[in-house]
Amino acid sequence: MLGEFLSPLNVALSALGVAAGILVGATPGLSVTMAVALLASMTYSWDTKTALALMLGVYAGGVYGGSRSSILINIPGTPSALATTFDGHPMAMRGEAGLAIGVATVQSVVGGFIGLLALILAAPPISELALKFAPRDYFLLAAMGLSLTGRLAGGSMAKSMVGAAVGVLVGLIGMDPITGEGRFTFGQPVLINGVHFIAAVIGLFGASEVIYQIGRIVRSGVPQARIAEVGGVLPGFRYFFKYLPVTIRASVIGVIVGALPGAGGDIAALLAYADAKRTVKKPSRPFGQGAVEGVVAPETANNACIGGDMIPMLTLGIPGDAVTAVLISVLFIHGLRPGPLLMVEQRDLFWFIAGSYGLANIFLFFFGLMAVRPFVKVVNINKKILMPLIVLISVVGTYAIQNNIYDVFWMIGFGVLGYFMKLGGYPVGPMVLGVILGPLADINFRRAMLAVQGNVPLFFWELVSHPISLVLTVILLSAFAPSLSIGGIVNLVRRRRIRREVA
Amino acid sequence: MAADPSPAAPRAKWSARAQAAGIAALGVFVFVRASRFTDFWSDPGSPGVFPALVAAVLLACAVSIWRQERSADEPAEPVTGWALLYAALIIGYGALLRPLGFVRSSLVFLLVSFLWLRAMPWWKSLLVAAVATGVTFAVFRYLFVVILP
Repeated sequence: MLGEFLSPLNVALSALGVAAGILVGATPGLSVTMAVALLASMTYSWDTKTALALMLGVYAGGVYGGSRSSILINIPGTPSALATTFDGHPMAMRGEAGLAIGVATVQSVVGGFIGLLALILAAPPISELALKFAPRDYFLLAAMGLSLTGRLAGGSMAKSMVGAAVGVLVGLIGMDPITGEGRFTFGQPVLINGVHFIAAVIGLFGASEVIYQIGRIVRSGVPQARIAEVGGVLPGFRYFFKYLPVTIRASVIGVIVGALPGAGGDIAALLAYADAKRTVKKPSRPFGQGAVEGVVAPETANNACIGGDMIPMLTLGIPGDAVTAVLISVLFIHGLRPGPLLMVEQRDLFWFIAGSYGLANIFLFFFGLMAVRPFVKVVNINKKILMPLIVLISVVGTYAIQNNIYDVFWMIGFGVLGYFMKLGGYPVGPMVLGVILGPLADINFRRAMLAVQGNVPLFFWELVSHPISLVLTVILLSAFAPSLSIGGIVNLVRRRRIRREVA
Repeated sequence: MAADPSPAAPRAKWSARAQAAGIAALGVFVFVRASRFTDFWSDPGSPGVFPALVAAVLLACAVSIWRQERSADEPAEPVTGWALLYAALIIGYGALLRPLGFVRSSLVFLLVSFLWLRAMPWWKSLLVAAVATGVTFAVFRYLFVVILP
């Protein structure tokens, strides 16, 4: 039972997932979120654990794979690899592409295992605590997730909030779970069951990206990126010990950002990069010109973030990022309710996920150091062939969710919507989180109101009089205070430390 | 036109205002709908309260977007006609799924895409379209157990 993740089928799927994930992550235009959402639709008929083994492999491989194209062609393969371009590509330009890939691989694996350790240590006590959570606490957590996606997504906060708000509205479409009346259904029976989440994600991350890319390809021709020469890959593990302090700091940032509902690997990597830039006094080269530390920090943080993201997912049923939002819906599709009770009643599922993710990290290590050269060719595949094929898979995958042609129409509709959002600078990630977090916030807000019999002052009193609620309220309010963003907190801590050092 | 040093700036401003107006309109619409749900004006636990909160957030965002100038880090991507045409092609693909069935509509979609994008010579396009459709159909039918229309 405990070693179920080691069954031959699950091991094989884990390996396959990691390999496919690296390819998906390394190909700009294919996102991990889209890949996992497509798999969620396809593996509907599979055993839950078998499906999870495959998806966790893709998750781990994809977050790592983004570094490949960052280093080799200066285009982040996934948003979480953006920070890796700052120094990874300059390294490649200096003829150190092999070293950069090697370092990225080792650090991703190390970050992955630290994240896993954090998950194993933190999840059981948090789930114990979560059993005491009242509906108002879940409301606060969901509201926190919604406001953090706006606060941290980079770019315009107002635009991220619009994305999250539209996502919430999409999530609310359908029959109200308490009164049974239709909300935003406009009397259409098709809408009473709501919009299928996976269909929306495939549209927002798959079809919209295709439309966007086609627009660019036709305008500017196929941009054949200049690919750096790849030298020896073996990283020299001496680097590992040399950069251990950066590694530890980046891991901590990754885990914490991951564990916050709504904030994912892209933010973790950028914060870790900024942190390394400020704390490393003598980098191997100036940052931005090929500093090894500039690859170590973001690559450690984005993989450490995976373990962090899974903490709220497994203990509270609240997604840490867009991919875990998809994983939550996978658990729902398979008839499981992610939350503290799942942790208590199905301990083996938790250990299966932890074990399977650990296994994926081991595969990541070997695949990451293997076959770098032929791999580059695959990543540089002609987009004019690839993009139409993505549409095909998106259409079929969406249909596969529940054999419903309307899901396909929704998927295409969200694809077109997502394209216009991208043009206007409205990120689609917060929208995906909104679809999951919105209904959670709504139902728990109303349960909390029922619990106080509609007495609003009593509701606010409970927010500050119960210790758990008080802590969550303070965190939620601090997310709205402009000077207390995550960056602000980092700055505050740093300033205090400098003062202490000076004194 | 030549006298204007940055002809894009006023356009960006009006684009931001149009977006803000659209978002505000959505906010108002949501609020009006939400206010008609059961017991909206009397019960703080009404199904309309949370949507109304979301409407308020949308209105606040609309104000903020109306006032902000387009910041430098945003990609100022123009809408391209080609992208819209391709979006229309995808919509057409979806519309053909029921009358033509999965296999035929996918073949047509892929073939039109490849030829239109000039991805490959026509015989290669035909071959790739046929193989891709066949493989996808087989994989879904047998590996994922999905009956396609």
